[in-house]
Amino acid sequence: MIRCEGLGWTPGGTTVLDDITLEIARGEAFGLIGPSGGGKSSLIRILDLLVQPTRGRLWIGGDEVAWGSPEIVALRRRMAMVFQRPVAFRMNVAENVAYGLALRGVPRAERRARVADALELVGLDGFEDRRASTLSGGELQRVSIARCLVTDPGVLFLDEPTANLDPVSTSVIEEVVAGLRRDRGITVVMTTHNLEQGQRLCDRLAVMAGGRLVQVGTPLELFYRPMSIAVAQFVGAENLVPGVVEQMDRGVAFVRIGPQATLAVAVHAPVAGEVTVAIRPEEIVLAKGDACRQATANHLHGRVTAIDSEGPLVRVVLDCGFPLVALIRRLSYLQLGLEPGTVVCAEFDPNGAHLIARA
Amino acid sequence: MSEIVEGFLQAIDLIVSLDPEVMEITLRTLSISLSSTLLATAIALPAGGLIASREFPGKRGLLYLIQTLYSLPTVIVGLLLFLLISSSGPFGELGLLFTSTGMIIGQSLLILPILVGLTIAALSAVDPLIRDTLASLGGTGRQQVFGLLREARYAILAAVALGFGRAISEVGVAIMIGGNIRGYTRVLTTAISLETSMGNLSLSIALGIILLAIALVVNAGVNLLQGGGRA
Repeated sequence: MIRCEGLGWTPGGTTVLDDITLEIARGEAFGLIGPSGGGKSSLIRILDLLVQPTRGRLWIGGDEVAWGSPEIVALRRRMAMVFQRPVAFRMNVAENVAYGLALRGVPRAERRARVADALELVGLDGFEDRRASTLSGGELQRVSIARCLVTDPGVLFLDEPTANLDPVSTSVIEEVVAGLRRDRGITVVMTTHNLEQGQRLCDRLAVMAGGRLVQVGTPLELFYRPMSIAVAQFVGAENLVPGVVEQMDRGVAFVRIGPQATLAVAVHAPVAGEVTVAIRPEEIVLAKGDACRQATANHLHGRVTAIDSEGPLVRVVLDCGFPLVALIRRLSYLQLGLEPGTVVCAEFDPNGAHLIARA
Repeated sequence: MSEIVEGFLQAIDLIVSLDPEVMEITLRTLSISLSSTLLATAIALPAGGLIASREFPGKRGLLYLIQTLYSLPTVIVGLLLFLLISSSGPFGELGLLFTSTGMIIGQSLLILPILVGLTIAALSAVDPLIRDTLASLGGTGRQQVFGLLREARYAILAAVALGFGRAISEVGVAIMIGGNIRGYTRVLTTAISLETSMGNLSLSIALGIILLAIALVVNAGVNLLQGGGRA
């Protein structure tokens, strides 16, 4: 559906995007994630043909984009984009939603029916005559989505669609987006800095940083097999422990991380040399004292140095010779009676860690 | 002092009794100034839209020039147009001198810079995301400019009102191009100027009150529309 090769954008000599090559299939939900300033919004604006890239080629639905030609308008009409900050025209809701149809010369009677359908889809039926300027941010964003859907686009772009919205509007919008893919087979391309949202809504995610695609894969691949330290940090694999592979044995690498400590990590291919062990905090189980529970797991002994609440979970920082973060359930925390200074054993399964080769 | 009070009372009488000459001058004035405002608006909207939506070398200089022309002296416009349409000028054959058509052209030229400049300013004040939204929804170039003008309609309306105010209150073009011919090209401002010099203070005051009343009505109308637009 969308393919680009070697896209680069350097407005005024500043490199914003560099060598972007990717392919998004018809009906796929594709997410661009990564820290702010990584180039996500710039890329999505180029894909929606709002900005002309400095370099590279772009195909939409099999046709190569001819920048500056009148065909651009026809191509744009097959797509739609929801912007991060919702804007409305100085009109009522129905006129706002119908705008794209009016531009396409759709007769008034047909417009009315399609607007009603689109508003119902985003849960704003009955809002037709409200002035757009009286709506809340969440309602306005839903109007923007209805304005996009009413034209029946083949591709829907969403640029951080829920970045500044309340949880209720966010979940309504997420449901609408998920429903679109399920019921209409629309190709969805979205940017988000919210990993969980990316995981919930997208088939594949691309991590962007410094204007480049750092890694593209399914959410699980990114979460459990980050290919670089930057990606590992972004997807929340907080514990990054440097070490050296000592030996390989039937799919398990033994990594020396200190004079006495060795970790076993499951790998899919042989590795050697210097590596970083990435361990997700929620994969770590704590036991009090020296009483480690599972013989097969990795064991690390340490002392609690800090305890923080993180929603329903508790974040425990240990000193194991290096800082190690564990995320445990509140009940476990209470049962263990942890406090700063408590000696604990941290365990994690060889499958709960991942090796990143160090260049 | 008593002369002024007396003039004022007579003026009220002239207005209330719908004096034929006062009415005739007033209607002609409205017709000429409205026509010139419409003509200038018809040129200024597309021109302003084009300038605002494009980037080109010399744009800054052009904007500077337009702003300078806001305070174009009316007599300069009168003089330039006179040179162009007087019988020896290049457009002399059109016979526009001392006609209301000539006055309409002159007033349009006079207020065109204000209308173009304020249209550009109004469009520049529109949220840039509106422009992106218009493009993303599949608007052609023309549809995008139209959409932006529509978003800026209240600011543009204020600009049009300002232009009308300048057109209806100017004397230079009206007298140099129109010639203040009674029953033909005489308008409120030229009539006030003539009647005052002839000592007909009451007529002058009556015409002055009408001129102010027109300005008041136009302003109130614009305010009403803009207030409605904000809700």
